[in-house]
Amino acid sequence: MSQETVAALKARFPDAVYDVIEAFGETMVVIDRAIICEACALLRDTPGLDYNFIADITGVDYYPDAPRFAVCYHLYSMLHNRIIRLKVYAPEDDAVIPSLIGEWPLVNWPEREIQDMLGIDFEGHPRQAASAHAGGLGWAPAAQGLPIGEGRGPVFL
Amino acid sequence: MATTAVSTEPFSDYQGDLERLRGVVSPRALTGETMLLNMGPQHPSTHGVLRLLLELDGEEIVTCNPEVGYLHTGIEKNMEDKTYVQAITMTDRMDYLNPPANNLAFVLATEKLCGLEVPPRAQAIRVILLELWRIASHLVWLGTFSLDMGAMSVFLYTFRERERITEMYEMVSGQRMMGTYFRPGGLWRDVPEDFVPAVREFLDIMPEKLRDYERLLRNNPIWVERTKGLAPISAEEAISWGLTGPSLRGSGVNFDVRKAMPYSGYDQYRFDIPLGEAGDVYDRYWCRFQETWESLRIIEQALNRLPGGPVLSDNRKFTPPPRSELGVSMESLIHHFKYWTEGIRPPKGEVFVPIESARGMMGCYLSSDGGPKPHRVHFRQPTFMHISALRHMTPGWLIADVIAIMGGIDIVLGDVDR
Repeated sequence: MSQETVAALKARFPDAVYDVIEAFGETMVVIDRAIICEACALLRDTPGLDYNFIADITGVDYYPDAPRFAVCYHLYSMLHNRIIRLKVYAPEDDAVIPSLIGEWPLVNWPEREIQDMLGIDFEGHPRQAASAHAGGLGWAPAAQGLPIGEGRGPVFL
Repeated sequence: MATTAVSTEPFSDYQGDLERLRGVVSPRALTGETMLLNMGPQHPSTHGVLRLLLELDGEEIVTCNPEVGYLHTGIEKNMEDKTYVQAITMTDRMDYLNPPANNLAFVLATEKLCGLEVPPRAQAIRVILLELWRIASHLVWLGTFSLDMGAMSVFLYTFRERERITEMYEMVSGQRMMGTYFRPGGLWRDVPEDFVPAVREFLDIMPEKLRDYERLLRNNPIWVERTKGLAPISAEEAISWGLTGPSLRGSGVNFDVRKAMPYSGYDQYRFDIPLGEAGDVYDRYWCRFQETWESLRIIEQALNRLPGGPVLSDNRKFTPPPRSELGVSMESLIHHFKYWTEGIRPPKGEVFVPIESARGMMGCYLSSDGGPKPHRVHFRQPTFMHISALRHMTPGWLIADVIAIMGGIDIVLGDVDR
């Protein structure tokens, strides 16, 4: 079902498509983070693919593995009823991923949520510098390895 | 200082320093030409803690900046510290007006990872409860929305009917709202004998009640005047802002996850997807209202075909042994102990499961590292996207219309701040 999508991505970005994983009936394409905007625009604008809807964006923290961070984009095509996951990785010391906001205005809040919760920055997003945010906590609340229920000092709401 | 998990712009602590709002509001606000007004975080019509920073030119909205995060619960993070079965209890608390749908998204994702088959009886009971709660959620929405719009009596009647649904849920799960009734592989237990008659009675009384509500609203000129033609959204705009559910279908986009990507056997039921035309607040109301009729149709079909048999998968790798075996089988006793203390270990991998909750497309992204606890859980919540679209919907309308627009997208703040 999603072979066409994978083929289109491979044809356009032969060096930047790292892996295609078919598991649990879902297709995941691991690509280079530098091409995420072009890849999403390609999937949206190519007739026959028409991925017109971003169903979800989420960040994943693979601490202590490297590269530490990943962001998953779930693109959905209402016309063809297909869903595909694009995944990009970012190392801990350079946790920056290009923002999709120029292509899709709706990613504004999901990207902010990832910024706040995991500390991944989105380059080009109107609000940058995730580390300064998350309510000024200075640490990412949803990061792996953060002890739950143990002392991080009081949090004043 | 406000700790906001998801702030729209760094304006939460502007403390009257307008320079810090540069880029957030129009330049006219910086010179004092327009007025800034905070609606919320504790405004009666926000049904939770949502803050809107409104920029007003007279009574007209120039910009609207929603800010959420006041109710942040850390549910996604907390689920990473619980076993798969324990984590289901967290999901109930997200969208508290429609708890079974939250259960279902997470349980379906777990089942997809484990490769669990759900018995037909469990599927049918799931559908009955999901549709009952879709009705309950729409009833709460209809009541509170009408209350905001000045049609007060509807609220009293819708809550009376919703009470019947919570009673039925208490019958099956022991709890009025936070039931945690769906489990990986099926249900916690079978429904009691008096459940089916109770649902039938509900189906009998409900059509007349729905007609009553409709009469109360359709003949109320204030209510109609305040909703018709208000904040129309085109289909393209609705898609590009990420709207789903009745808010999207009000604009005429035929997208319902139950039809597009059927789960729990929804492909076996006959039901229609009500679609609006103008995409205004009234059409969104109309879609929701017609959906309750369709839900009644689905429940009736599910009751008529309710099959017998077990309600939990017999794949013992991921389901607990039945209580009856514990007294006679040592292995079952060990299995029971290990299931509840260590939990299940789905294979390594990641899945994304979308479902249609009462508010729209709800998705669960679940990543497993092969251990007994989820590695990462993330929920795609419809209200989160809907509130972010408020900034596009409200400019140009009056301050009283903000209440109607906000009500029209059916917000639940627990849904936003997981």
